[in-house]
Amino acid sequence: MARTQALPIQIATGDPRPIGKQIVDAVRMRIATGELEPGAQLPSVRGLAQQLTINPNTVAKAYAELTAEGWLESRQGLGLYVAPPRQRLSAAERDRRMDEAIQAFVHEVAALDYPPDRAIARLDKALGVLAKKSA
Amino acid sequence: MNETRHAGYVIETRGLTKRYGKKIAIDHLDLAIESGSIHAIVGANGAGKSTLFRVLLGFLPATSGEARILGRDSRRLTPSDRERIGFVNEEHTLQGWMTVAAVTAMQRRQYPRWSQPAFDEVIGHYNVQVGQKVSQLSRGERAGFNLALSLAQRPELLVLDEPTLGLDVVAKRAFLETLLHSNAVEGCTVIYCSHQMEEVERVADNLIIMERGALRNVSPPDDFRSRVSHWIADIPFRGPDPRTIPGLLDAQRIDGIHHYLVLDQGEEFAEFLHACGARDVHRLPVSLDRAVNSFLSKQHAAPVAA
Amino acid sequence: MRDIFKAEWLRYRLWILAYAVGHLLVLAFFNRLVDLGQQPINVRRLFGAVYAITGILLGLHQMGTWRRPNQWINLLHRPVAPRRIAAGLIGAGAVALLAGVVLPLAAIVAWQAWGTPRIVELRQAILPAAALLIALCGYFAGAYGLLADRRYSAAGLVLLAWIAVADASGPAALAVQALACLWLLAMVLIAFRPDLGEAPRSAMATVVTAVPVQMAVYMLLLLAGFVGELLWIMQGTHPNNMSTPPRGGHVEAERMSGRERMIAGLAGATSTDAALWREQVVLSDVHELDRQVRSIGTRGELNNTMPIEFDDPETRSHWTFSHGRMRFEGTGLADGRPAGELGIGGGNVAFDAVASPAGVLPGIAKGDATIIAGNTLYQYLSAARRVVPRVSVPHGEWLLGTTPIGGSLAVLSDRSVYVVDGRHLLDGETPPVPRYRVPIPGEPGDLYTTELVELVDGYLVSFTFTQRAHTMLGAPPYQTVLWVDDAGRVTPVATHALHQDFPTFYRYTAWWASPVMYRVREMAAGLFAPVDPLGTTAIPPIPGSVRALAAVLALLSLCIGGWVAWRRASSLPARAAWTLGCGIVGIPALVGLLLIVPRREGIVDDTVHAVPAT
Repeated sequence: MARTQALPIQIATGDPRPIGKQIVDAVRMRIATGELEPGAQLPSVRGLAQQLTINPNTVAKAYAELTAEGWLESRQGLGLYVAPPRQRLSAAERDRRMDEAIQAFVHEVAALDYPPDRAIARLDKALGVLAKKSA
Repeated sequence: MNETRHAGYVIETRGLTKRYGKKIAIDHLDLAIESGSIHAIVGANGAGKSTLFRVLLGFLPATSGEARILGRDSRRLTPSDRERIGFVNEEHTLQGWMTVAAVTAMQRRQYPRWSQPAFDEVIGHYNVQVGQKVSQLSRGERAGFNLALSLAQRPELLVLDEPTLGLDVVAKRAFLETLLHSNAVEGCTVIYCSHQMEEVERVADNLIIMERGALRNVSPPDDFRSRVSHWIADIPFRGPDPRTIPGLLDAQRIDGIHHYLVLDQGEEFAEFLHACGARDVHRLPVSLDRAVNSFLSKQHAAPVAA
Repeated sequence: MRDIFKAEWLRYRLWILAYAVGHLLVLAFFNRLVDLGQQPINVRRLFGAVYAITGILLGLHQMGTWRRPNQWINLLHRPVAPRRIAAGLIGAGAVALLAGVVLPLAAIVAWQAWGTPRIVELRQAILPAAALLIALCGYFAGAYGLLADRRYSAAGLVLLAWIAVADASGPAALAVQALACLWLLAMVLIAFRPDLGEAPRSAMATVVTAVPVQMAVYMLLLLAGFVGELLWIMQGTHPNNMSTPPRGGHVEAERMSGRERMIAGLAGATSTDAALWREQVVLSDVHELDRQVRSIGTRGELNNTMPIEFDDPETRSHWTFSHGRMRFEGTGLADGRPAGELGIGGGNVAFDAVASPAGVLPGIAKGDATIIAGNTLYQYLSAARRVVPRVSVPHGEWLLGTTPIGGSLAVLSDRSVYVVDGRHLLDGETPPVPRYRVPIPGEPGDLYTTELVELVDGYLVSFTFTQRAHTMLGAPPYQTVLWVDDAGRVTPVATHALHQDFPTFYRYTAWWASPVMYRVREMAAGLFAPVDPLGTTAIPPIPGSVRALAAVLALLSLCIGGWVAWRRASSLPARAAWTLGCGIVGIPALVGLLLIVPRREGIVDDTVHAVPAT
C-alpha cells in the first residue's frame, strides 16, 4: 500500500481563483507533470486543510471535484488516490475547453499588447513541462 | 417553556431593527443562520455587526422585531442558554489581575460541560504558563487563551467578533489553525466576524454580508465571488453614464481604459458595453477581497473621472 | 458566585490592605489627640463623608471597569444568573469595606475599651456598624451611578443625603442607615442586568427607582432655589445681607442690641408707665438671657449633641458623662487612671437626662462647675467631689440656661422665664422656689432672644419670636414685652408684629415645589427620631396663594405628564400610574417620568433596500 504522498502546494488568498479552484488546479498540474503518480495517496482532507490553514470543507469540495473529473479515486475507508490515467473527458468536451482556454489566453495577451511571436515562444516553453511527461 | 424552537437555526431575526436616536444600526434584519459549519459575517465598520451580537446576547434591547439565538428569545436567555453560547470579542476581555490558572478554574466550575482535554489541546498551541497573570500575556496568547476557554465550554454556538484584530501574522495563523482543526470545534456552529478577507476566504463555509444594518448576501464565498466580475473596456470618449450601468459596483478610468466591477452581470454585459461604443471588452474574475470590498464600498464610490 | 467574589477580592485586596493600614494610622493618631468616642455631629459627619466617599469611589471603580460593553458581556455572558454575579461583586465590595473601614475602626474601639479608661458604651460600640452602613450606602450609590441610565443614575446619592439629615439617634440611626442601604441595594440589583441602562421593567422596580429619582429632582429644584438665593445675595437685596435691613422687619429686630430691641418693643406700649420704663431702659442694664443648652441630647445618641465633658483643674480630674450609667466618669488628668463616678448628691443618684457642663456662676469656688441636666441646674463641688442640685424648673420643662442679674438669677426654660433669689442659692440644701415665673408667650422653636430689664418695681421681659420666621415652619415674626411686678403678676405691655422680610413664595418653596415630596422628606428625616422639645413652633397655616400655586403646578404636571406618559409608556397601567403620579407629586414626578421612561425609538418605516439580499 502506497504511503501518503506529500502535496507541496501553495494557495494564495486574494487570488482571483477561489481556494478550492487553486487546489484543483495544483493537483491537476502535479498529476499532469507526473509529480503525482497514479496510485499515490493524497493527504487527508483534514491534513491538507491543516497544512494550508483553510476550512476542511473547501478541501473536501476540491477533492470531490477532482474525483468527479476522474483525476482521483476514492478507496473505501483508505483515502484518496491518484487515478490511473484515462481519457477523462469526451473529445468534444476537450475541444470546447481547449477553445475556451485559448480564447482566454488570447484575450489576455491581446489586452497586454504582447508581440504574438514572443507569446508563442513563452507558451511553448510553458507547455514543455507537459511534453516532458508524455515523452 | 412554551417557546417554539426553530429547528436548525442557531440565529434567527425577523424584522430586527435597532435605532440609536436617529441613527439606524440594524434595519429590518431578517437573518436565519443554520446550525453547523462556519459562517463569516462581513461588513464595514458601523454595519451593525457588533450591535447585532449585543442584541442577540440580550445586552441591548431591540427597537422592534424579533431576535432568537439557539431558538430562544434573546431577551430571555437563561444561564443554561448562555452556557451553550460561546462569545469571544476582539479585545479578548479577561480578568487581567488573575492568573491563567485562576481564570481557568473559575470557568471550569461555572461551565458544567467543561472539557479539559479540549482546553489542553487548544492551549497547547500557545506558550501560556498557568502561573502567569492574564495581563502579562501577549495579545496573541490572550486570544488563544480566550479561544481555549470558549472551546472548553463546549458551546453549540461560538460567536467570534473580530477575534484576530490586532494580532500579528504568527498569532493570527495560530488562532485560525486552532479554530479550524481543533477537535473541540466539531459539532459547533461558528459565527466568525472579521474584516480580514484573507481569513474569511480560508475559514468560511458561508458568507454573510451586512451593510448599514441590512443583510446583503448569504451564500458560500465562492458563489458570491462569481457574482462579481471585472470588465475592461476600451471606449473612446466618455463612457456611459454610471447611473445607466447595470449592477455597477465600481468604475475606474485608468489610462483611458474603463474598468467596471459589476454585480450579477453575465455575457450580456459585453453587449451593453459594445452598445456603448466599446471597441474591446474583457471579462476577468476577481478576488474575494476585491469582490467584497467593491460591494461594500459601492455606497460611497468616488465619482467617475470624466 | 464564589469564584466571582474571590476574583474580585483578589483584585482589590492590596488596595484595601493599604487603605486599612492608612485608616488605622489616622484613627490612632486622632484618638491620641482627642477622644474619638466623644465627638459632636460635625466631626462624625466628616468621618461619615470620608467613608461614604470611600464607598462611592469603590463602587465607581468596580462597576466602571465592568460596565464597558465587552467587559460587561464577558462578566454576564456565563451560565450564572445575573443576581448571583451581582452578589459576587457586591460581596467582594462589602468585604473590602469591612476590611478597609470597619476593622480599623473596630480595632480603635477595642483599644479604647480595653486599653484606655475612656468610656465605651453601646453608642460607641455601634460606630463601626454605622461606618459600614454608610460606606456600603456610598458603595451602592457609586455602583448605581455607573450601572443605571446616566440621566438619573446620580439619584442614589439621595439616600446618602437622607443619612446625613436624618434625625434618628443611637441604634435608631443604624436602622435608618440600614433602610437606606437596603433601598440602594435594591436599586443596584434592579440596574444590574445585561441590557444596562434600560428602564426598569416591573412596576415594583419602577417604584423603587422612581422614588429616589423624584426626591433627587425635588432636591435639585430646592438647590436651584438656593442658587437663585445666592444671586439674590450677590445683587445685594437679600434681607440678611443688606447693609441696612428692611425697616420694621425681623432681620432688623435680630440685629438690634438688647437695649434697642427693648426700646423698640416698648414703642407700641400704651400703658401709663411706658414713658417711665423707656427712661429706665435707657439707664439700666438690659440682660439678654443666656442659653447654655442649644439642643438637648438623647440618651444613647451616636454623636454628642451637647458637650458632656469638663475638667476640674483643682483635683486634676476629667469628667465625662456616661450614657450607660447616666453619671459622670472621672479620670485623672495627670495619670489617666479612673477617678470614680459622679452622680447627684451623696447617694450618687443617676441623672435623669443627659447632663452637660454649663460653665461657672459668680460665687462658686475654684474648680466648681455648673451642670445642666433635664429640668435642673447642678453645681459640681470640686472640693467635696459632689454634685448638688441648685435650681429646678417644673418637671416637663427643660432648663436651658441661667443669667445672673444682680443678686438674682434669671433662669430660662423652654416654656418660662424664672427669677430666683441668688443670695442663698449656693449654700442652700434644697433648691429655692423661684420668685417670679413668666410663661413664654410663644413656642420655644420660634424664640430668638429674651431680654430682661430690672425695674424699680419689677421686671420688663421682652421675647422676640423670629428664630424660624424665614421658613414656612416658623411663626410670623413678632415681639412681646411683659411686665412683672413685685408681686409676680405678669402684665402684657406691648406686642407688635414684625414685618416679614422674606416673600411668601420664597418661604414656601419647599412646599409648593411638591407638597408630597415635602411631606416625604419630612417623614424620612423624622423617621425613628426622638421629638425635639426645643423644635416646636407655631406653624402658620399655608397661605391660599401658595396652595393655588401648588395646585397649578400639579395640574400642569398632570397634563404634561399624561401626555408624555401616553407617548412613552407602553402599557395602560403604566401610563395611568405615571399620569396619576405627576398629578399627585407634581414637577418631580414629571421630570422623573422624562428621565426614567425613555422616548420610544421610532419604528423605521422606509423599506427600500438598494440591493436585495439573496
